[in-house]
Amino acid sequence: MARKVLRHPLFIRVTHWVNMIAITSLIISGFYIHNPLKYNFFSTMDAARKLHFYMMYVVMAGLLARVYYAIATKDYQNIWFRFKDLKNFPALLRYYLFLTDKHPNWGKYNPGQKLVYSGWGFLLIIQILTGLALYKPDTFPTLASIFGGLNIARLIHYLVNWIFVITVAIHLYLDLTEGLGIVKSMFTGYVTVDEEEPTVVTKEQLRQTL
Amino acid sequence: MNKISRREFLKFASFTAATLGLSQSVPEVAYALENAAKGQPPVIWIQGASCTGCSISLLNSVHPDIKEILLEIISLKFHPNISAATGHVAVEAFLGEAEKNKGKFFLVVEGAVPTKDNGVYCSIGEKDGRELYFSEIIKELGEKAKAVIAIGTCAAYGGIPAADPNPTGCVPVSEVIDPKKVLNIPGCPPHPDWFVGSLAHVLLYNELPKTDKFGRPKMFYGGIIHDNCPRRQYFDNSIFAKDFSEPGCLLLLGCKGPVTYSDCPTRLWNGGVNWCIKAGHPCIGCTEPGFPDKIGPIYEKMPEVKLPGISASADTFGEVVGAATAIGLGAHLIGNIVTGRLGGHKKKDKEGEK
Repeated sequence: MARKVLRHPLFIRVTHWVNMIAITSLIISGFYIHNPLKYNFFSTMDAARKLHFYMMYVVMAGLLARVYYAIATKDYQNIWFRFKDLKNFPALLRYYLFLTDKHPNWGKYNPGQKLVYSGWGFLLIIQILTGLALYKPDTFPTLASIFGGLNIARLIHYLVNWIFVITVAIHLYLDLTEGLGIVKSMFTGYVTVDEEEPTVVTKEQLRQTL
Repeated sequence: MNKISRREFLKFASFTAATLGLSQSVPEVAYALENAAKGQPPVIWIQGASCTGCSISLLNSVHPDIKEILLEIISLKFHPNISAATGHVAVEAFLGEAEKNKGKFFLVVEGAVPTKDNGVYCSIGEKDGRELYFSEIIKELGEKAKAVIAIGTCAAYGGIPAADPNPTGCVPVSEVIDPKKVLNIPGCPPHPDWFVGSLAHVLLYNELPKTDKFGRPKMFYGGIIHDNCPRRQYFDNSIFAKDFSEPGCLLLLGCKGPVTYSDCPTRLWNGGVNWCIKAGHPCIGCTEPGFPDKIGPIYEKMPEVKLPGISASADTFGEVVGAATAIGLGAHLIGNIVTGRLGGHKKKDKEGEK
């Protein structure tokens, strides 16, 4: 018997889409700021920088809200990557490399997702710190010294941006190919599950729903 | 309220003017400085792994000019370039002066300190038939000095002698001498005002000026070049020079203005005539720690990414990894279709909807 289960509460849905808009704009405007001749997406540097700085505040708020939610509702149990998740990686790799068709039930997110999602939080903090050092070098000279100078901060900011580009691409690809039900649930919040089949929702999550 | 005499007031005002860097436009400052500092303070200037460029740059000082600085404002006890004495006489001269003015003199160090193999790569003289290594001498003099001014990026952060692969093991002065005692005046070369202004501050307040985390006086290294750049409007309007002869922002030619702390754009060089960017050359970031390795290459925006066996520009690195990901995802997509997993899932979804 199939029934609908809440997979993503409203708060997660809102922060997800807010962060998605912010990070996408940050990546695009960031590439323009890095090399305006090569990545010619904007009319002027001023426009690109303005968007970058608005979205900087949005993503900071988005990260803060998401982390607060994760701690306040114990949602971190679903999403936070732990070292014990490492032992599940071989099984996950076997699935992704088509060696087996079985995707074991690890709860709401599989260990790969946990690694990427908690990694984004960590990388965002690095981006915020290096970004602030570059944004207001006069106000935050200490930040620049932590990274060993502004140029190193700039290099870190640029390379971590590439990690975002790659992981967002993987995230998009896997979500679109692993079943549109999951994608839909990020809009509606609900996912259809079969009672007989292993559920993609944790017991914790179910308890919150019911 | 404190009572101050007219003379004291003038002294204070002129020192403040010098500290603020007005020395180029107000000749009276030089006069006042000279009066206030007569016979004071003893300065010993020594050079290690350096090119003497910092000493040459000091010749550029306008008010006070170099003659006034050397003969009237400071009491220069020793400087290798203008020392009449040579050999052991010269060595005895500065060691003797250091002993005589113990705790009173300022030690100005130009150049990095080679420390590899006990500092054998930089010997600045002989005493009792034994070579005097620079690393030992500045330790000895540094303890006796009232304060140490590390002039130039080499002395302040290692600079060019400490650049990769650093064969002589060069380190900044602050790693050999107690960093609290050291004032860094980086720059390749530093502006003469940065040195004279800092000296004026020390003479006036009897303490080292307020510094940032990298030991530089905030009054000269407080802001970044990019924010005060006369070509900033070009940057905001996305007019970028593709050639050195073009007007426009020099960012894409490798300008390090956005990552360099210095007051060059407002202070200008050669007596206020010109400076690097006004002359059409990108800023090379010479006042920054890690110059030239971490701030270079001069005509590229970012340093290279170095991994074991691989060295590539940050752009190439990102693009290669990005392309590899795209190929990987494409291959996985083919796998998804070939194994029928993608189709299978869709079927399952449809069944679920029923």
